[in-house]
Amino acid sequence: MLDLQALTKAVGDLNEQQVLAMLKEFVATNPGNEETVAVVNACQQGMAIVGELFDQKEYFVGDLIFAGELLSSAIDILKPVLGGESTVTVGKIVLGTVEGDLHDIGKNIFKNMAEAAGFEVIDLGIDVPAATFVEKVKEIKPEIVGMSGVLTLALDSMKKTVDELKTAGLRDGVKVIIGGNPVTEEACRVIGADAFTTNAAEGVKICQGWVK
Amino acid sequence: MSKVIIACQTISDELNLAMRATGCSYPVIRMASDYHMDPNLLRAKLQEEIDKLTDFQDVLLAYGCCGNGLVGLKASTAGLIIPRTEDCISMVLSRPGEKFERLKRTYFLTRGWLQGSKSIAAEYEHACERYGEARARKLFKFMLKNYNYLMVIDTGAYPLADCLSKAEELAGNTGLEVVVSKGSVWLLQKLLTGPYDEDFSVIPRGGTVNSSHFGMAGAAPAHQAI
Ligand code: B12
Repeated sequence: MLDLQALTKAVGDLNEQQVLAMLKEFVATNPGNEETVAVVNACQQGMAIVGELFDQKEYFVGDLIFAGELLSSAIDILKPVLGGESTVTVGKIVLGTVEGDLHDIGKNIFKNMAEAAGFEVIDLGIDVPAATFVEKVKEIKPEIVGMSGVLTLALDSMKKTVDELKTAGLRDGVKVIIGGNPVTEEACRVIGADAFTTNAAEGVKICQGWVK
Repeated sequence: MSKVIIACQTISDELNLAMRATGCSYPVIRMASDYHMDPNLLRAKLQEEIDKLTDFQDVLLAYGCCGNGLVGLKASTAGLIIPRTEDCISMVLSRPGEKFERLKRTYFLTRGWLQGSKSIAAEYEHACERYGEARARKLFKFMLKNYNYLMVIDTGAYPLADCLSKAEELAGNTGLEVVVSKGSVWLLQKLLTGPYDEDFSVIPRGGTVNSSHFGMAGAAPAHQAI
């Protein structure tokens, strides 16, 4: 069995070679779903270390980007053994960075983690206008709408998006979760979202709670 | 009525110009640019400075909302006067009385933005050291995949040539196109002289900055119909 702590550390150290080698070796043993979920968790914990080191100014933005790429290649390697028994998706999430904001590192991390947890994520990209969210919600009928943003103005765009979902009569049919550094409880209330988080793993847990 | 200025190093050139232009001689506390990379740290550092002040009537904060870096500040020792603007980019690119529309797909630079130890140029160097040049280029292409332009803002506060050659180099390495646009220091000048009208939020001593002070979502009435 793969050494989970060593994996977490390798992700935290951004040691790509080691991470990918460990995962390939692991997948070759044809592991069960439960084991794989534990491995995904270990990767997520590694990402949390990266976040901490970024906050401590140890890592640069380039390192964050690298970490995001590393996580997505890790999940790609694990995908074949992840769904294992249950290939059905647990739910659909329409996700995007809201209008006016081009930041997407956090959104992509959440996307990867949500996919690893079995969600089908429809990623609308960055700078997504409220109207596009409305259109996609109509078309895809997801259980969840996820909005990301780190600019202060993102909060206004999030509010606008929720308002337009209401106007279109779609708000009651979905749960809305918002993420990114500036989101707070107060912002969540004013925006009219159902939940907020500044932690992708917690966001995934909240979403899992909704589709149970 | 005595005032003190607390300013981000990023807009040092622009503040100096505004001070010269208005003949302002208030004392200035300059804060490292690096703090703006971490809004929570920025807030803590600003609060530390404000808490230390004695015998000033008002603090003029040469900042914007800066990713909520200013939200939550307490006017512990003096009143706070803050421009109602998003960040230093909207501060120098906006025009009096007009709503500011941020240009899309654009990364903005001034000399001040290039100088911090966490500036985009420093980032690039770090990435080259850590991952080698080829990988660094790839990372930056990815980091900036949502961007087409590198805009140098000519605020009139520094010699453009310096910044322009660095910008060209960075643009070459990251596949962006350099554009130059005129900015101005009108809002900074007004911060120094007043009047403190709708372009500013005035937080009396004892108050706390909240997001409505920047006209953000927090300003909307909380009783909105669901
Ligand atoms: C990296 C970064 C960039 C990179 C972005 C690369 C990219 N592809 O995204 C680059 C260098 C390109 C960049 C550009 C700009 N940036 Co910038 N940037 C940052 C920085 C340093 C980190 C943001 C980040 O990625 N954090 C890491 C991620 C992992 O954290 P996160 O987003 O919070 O996400 C986590 C959670 O919140 C959660 N999450 C996120 N989204 C979601 C969604 C859902 C549904 C869920 C459940 C969870 C979730 O999961 C994540 C992991 O746990 C911040 C400062 C800071 N420390 O916050 C400034 C910052 C956000 N940037 C800022 C600025 C000013 C800019 C520019 C305007 C600068 C310029 N000179 O042009 C441009 C933006 C143009 C635009 N219109 O968007 C300001 C914002 C000020 C403001 N106006 O509000 C900040 C605060 C820095 C500052 N004070 O100056 N930036």
